[in-house]
Amino acid sequence: MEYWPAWLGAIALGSIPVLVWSVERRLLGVSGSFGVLMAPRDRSAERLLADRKALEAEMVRATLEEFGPEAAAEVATAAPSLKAATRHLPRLTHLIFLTFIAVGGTLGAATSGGWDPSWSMGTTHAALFGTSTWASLGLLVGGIFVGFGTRLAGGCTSGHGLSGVPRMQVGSLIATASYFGAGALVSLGLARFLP
Amino acid sequence: MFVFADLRMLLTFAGAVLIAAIGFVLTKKLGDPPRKPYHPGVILGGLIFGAGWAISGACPSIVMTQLGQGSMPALITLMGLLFGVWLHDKIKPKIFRFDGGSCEI
Repeated sequence: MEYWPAWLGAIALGSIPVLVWSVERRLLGVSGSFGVLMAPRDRSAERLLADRKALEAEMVRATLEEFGPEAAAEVATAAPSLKAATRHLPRLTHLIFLTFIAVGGTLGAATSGGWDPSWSMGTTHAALFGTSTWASLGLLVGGIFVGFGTRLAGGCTSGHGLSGVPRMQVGSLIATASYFGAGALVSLGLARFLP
Repeated sequence: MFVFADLRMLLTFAGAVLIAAIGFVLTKKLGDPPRKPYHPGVILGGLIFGAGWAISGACPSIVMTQLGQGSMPALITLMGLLFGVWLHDKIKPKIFRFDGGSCEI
């Protein structure tokens, strides 16, 4: 297996959050995409979003009620950013995004030794967990931790690690230190105490 | 990755952070991207995430990459991850009273 050089991976990975921000004006976030996929459907919000005029009328009405007539003028000038703020990407977009991360994995494998699907997780994982039921249970429990933890932290390696840390965002720095620290501790513990 | 036997992923990540830092400085005139402030969830969530990463060998995007490159057991990790996300959204409002925000793309 001939891997791509690390510097090439670094350039590719480092460019993605910047490109996503430049083109889409959003922060990259894979755990956020999983969150959208699993979120219960809110039909009322969808209907409101589909009907832009009804949404704006509703927002103007609520603003008038809360702040009085003088705020209405501000609403008119603030309209473009209002539009951007309410533009949520549909579920399908997130699904395509996640799917193409997998396609990237396929291409990466195909260009570094060939695509060879298998039911093994590689030698490091097998050395820690064996290849039995325990290994599967580890994947399942680990997966649940990853899903729960990233949502609780409000981001993962992409959202906090690649989009927040480069901008020295406090939450991202603490989150990244936490998951790297816990990852190293648990890994070293497992390597030490598992047979 | 975390047993530090193979430093390629760490190198890649560190390099990517550097490249992204430069990129975000160069695109500064586009405006200020959403902030990621501290909230109580970043520590607890980060610790849980890190432990899960160590056990399963995957972060949310690596699950998809593993599947794509043909590591079929990652299907189990993906099922766990989807359940974990669902579980969080189900029980978080009952336990924690802070707004964690999200990197919603």
